[in-house]
Amino acid sequence: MINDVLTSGKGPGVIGMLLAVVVLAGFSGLGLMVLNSDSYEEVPLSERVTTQLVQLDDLEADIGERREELEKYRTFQNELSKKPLFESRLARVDERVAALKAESEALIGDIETVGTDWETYKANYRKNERARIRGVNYDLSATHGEKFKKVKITGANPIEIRAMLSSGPRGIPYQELPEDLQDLLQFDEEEANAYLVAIGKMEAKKTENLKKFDKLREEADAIQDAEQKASKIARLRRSVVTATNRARAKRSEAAKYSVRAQRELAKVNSAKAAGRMTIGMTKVSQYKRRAASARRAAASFESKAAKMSSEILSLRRR
Amino acid sequence: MRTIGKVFLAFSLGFVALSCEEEDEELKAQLDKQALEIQAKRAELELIRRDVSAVRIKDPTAELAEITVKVEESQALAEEAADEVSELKAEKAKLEEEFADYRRRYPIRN
Repeated sequence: MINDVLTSGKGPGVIGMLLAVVVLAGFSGLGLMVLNSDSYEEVPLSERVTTQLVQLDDLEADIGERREELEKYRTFQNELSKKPLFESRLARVDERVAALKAESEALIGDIETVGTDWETYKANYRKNERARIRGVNYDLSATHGEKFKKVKITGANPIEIRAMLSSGPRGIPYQELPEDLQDLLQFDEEEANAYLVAIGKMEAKKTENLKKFDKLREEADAIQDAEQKASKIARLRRSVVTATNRARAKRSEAAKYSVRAQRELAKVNSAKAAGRMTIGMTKVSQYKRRAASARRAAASFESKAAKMSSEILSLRRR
Repeated sequence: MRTIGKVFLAFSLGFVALSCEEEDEELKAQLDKQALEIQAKRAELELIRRDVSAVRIKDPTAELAEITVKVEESQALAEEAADEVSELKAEKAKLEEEFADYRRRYPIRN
């Protein structure tokens, strides 16, 4: 068999076999190279191309979105650049509002000043006219009858004029006066009401002051009473002490005279027993009288002291 | 004969592989071209992203609308204040005129 292969008579011969080996080795090597190339990796080339195309599409889409986003932010930037203009406009309008408000306040102040000036002028006018009309004879017969033909006006205040009639002084409310006189003296309800309110306040104040005065007077009276009572008690105490001392002295004096009377009586009895004449009884009677007188005086002083003590207690209780 | 068959098989495989290799070369070229494109696109995307980061701000529409509303309100206030000023001026003029009339009608006599 081997001989057949190696011999050119039956087989390819040695040279042919060698050539076949060379060709086989060459193509095998080439096959191995192809098998070892990238085309035999896990992901096929066509798929990689497709993946890349998808990646490209994704990138295109992403770029498109980012461009839109960029455009949006550029628009925002553009809008934001208008902000200072808007703020400036707002500031200008605010300034105008502030200026107008200031002008408005100034005008209100001016109006108030004119009003105050007017009130002051009116008050001066009234004062002047009401002073001028004092002593003027005025004919009020149209509104009050013939008795008011020649009325002497003695004064005017916001609610009335004071007039001297034959029956005596009288107040005539301004509402009852002729229109021309009311207008001349500028009577009005507002002034009258304000005046009445002021009078009411003054009267209330006066009543309050009178109440305060009465209270103060009562307090002063109470203090004075207390001082008088204290003084009287002190005086009575001194009198009680004096009366008690004097009563004690009188009791002592009475005791002294009683002793003397007893001594004299003993002397008289002893003289009588000895048969001697004596005038001692006169002294005895004299001492007894003095002792009795002293006891009465002492009783009188004690009675006075008791009475005064009772009076002190009574004063303290009050 | 078996050896000859094997040689023939190897030869066939080699031939097929050679044919495939030629086709792959085209795809590889396309892949390379696309890879370059992808790289360029990525670079472009990165640049755009940077630009976006640089200009990224909050939407100012609401803020501007708020200022616009304030401006409108202030303008309304200004108009109101202007009307008030006008009325006050007229009132002041009228009051001054009435006061002057009053003084003429009720002069303070000496």
